[in-house]
Amino acid sequence: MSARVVVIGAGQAGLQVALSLRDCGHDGSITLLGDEPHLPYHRPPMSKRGLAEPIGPDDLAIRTRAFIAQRNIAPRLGVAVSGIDQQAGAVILTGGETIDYDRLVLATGSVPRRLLLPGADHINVVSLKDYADLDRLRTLLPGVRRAVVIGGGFVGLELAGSLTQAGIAVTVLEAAPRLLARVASADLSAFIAAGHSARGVDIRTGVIITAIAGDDRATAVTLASGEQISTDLVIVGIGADADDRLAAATGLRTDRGILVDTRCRTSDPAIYAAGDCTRFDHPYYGPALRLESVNNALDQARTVAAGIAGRPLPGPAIPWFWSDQFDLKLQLAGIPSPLDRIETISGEGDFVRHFVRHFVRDGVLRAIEAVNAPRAFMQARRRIEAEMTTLYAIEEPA
Amino acid sequence: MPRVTFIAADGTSTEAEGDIGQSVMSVAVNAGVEVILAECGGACACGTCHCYVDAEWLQRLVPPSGSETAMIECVIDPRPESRLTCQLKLTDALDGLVLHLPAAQY
Repeated sequence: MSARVVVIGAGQAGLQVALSLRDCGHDGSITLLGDEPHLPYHRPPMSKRGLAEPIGPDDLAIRTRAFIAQRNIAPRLGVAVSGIDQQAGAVILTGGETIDYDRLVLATGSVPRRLLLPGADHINVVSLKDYADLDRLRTLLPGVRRAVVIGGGFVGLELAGSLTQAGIAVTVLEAAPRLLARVASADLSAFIAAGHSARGVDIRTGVIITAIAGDDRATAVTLASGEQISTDLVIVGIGADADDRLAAATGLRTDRGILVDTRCRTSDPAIYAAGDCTRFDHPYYGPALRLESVNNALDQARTVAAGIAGRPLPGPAIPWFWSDQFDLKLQLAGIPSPLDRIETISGEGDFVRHFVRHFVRDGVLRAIEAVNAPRAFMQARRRIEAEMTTLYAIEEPA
Repeated sequence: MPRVTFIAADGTSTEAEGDIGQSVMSVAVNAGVEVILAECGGACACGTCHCYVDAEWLQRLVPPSGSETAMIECVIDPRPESRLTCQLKLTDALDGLVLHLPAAQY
């Protein structure tokens, strides 16, 4: 089939759609549109190695320009899309140029949530989403002795680790009663909080922030209690929303994310979506799920490619995540539910540096949380995949 | 600059140069070695940059960390000479390193 495919978004998901299409034998044109000037690059290392090592976009590139060109994929970088003409089957770039498509893929990623507080636009208040942010963060670092990280999620905690290791005194402020509240069990939150405290991070949870103090530069963060925490740098890591703006403006179905079916199709059958920008029903882990992970971006991208190329779709995937904070290596697979029974698993080291929890329901392993226990993680990931596949194969009506 | 030879499962070989301190995974990606997926970008978290080290070279490498060893146990067809290329850093002593690639990472 030689359909013309246009992919909007040149991140992990967008590139993988293009590569998987070629793997599936697709021989039509593939145009990859990116708003950043860089070829698709790995984002996760930015908050982990990014402060200690002078890594640039070329070091982080997922594939080289030559590799992409050899597969006859045409990147158009540093371009912005202003709209989609569904009737004509065309993408409209700012400036008016149009690019015709037979199949369109939205891989627009996510947008970091902005802090809506007085002082949030001071120059030393930064969030970390793309390479330009990392570059800016690095230029701000010299001379910084104290930093406040707003938000105790993965990115915030990874940066708290990196900054502490750079000799900076770090305070983490989290509005929820515990760290990683959206993604981790209470046990894991407690383990991570203790781990950060033991390594010198001042962790404060259940904290309400009222303002960022300072004239043109932030000098302190003001709490509702009246307390002021002095700082030289503020990092905002309060999550990211699906970037469904283009989809919504086009009239596709969205609900805090582009809604896609099991084939990753939007409400327009000629338009697909993959990665952080989507929301979908996971056959194992529940309805209206939104996942922000490399693994989900790659899985959905492969599904999109198979669908466009008319190949058999890959089966449901087990979501998994990782995070490196100091010497703590978090690996999570599956999505824990309050309905699961939590089993503490021993056998891999002590429980000061190691943590393993299994999430079990009706005798089926549904999720794992592991810290510094890669063997337990990998084994559990295999088991979850096998047990969930079997469970749902039986339950599905023939 | 140290040179590395990647020999694919079908016998075709790719030679590439890298900088001291660069990971072998990154050398492979830059050389267009397709089977080195490196989905996690080099964090020793995914096990998709697996290779087999040529017998002659095995003893000359810094031994794997505990976490690399654990990840390797769970790749497709692990062998005693298995390593994750993201954990191998180039040194002058590794000039001429020969690695055999698996047919796939899944």
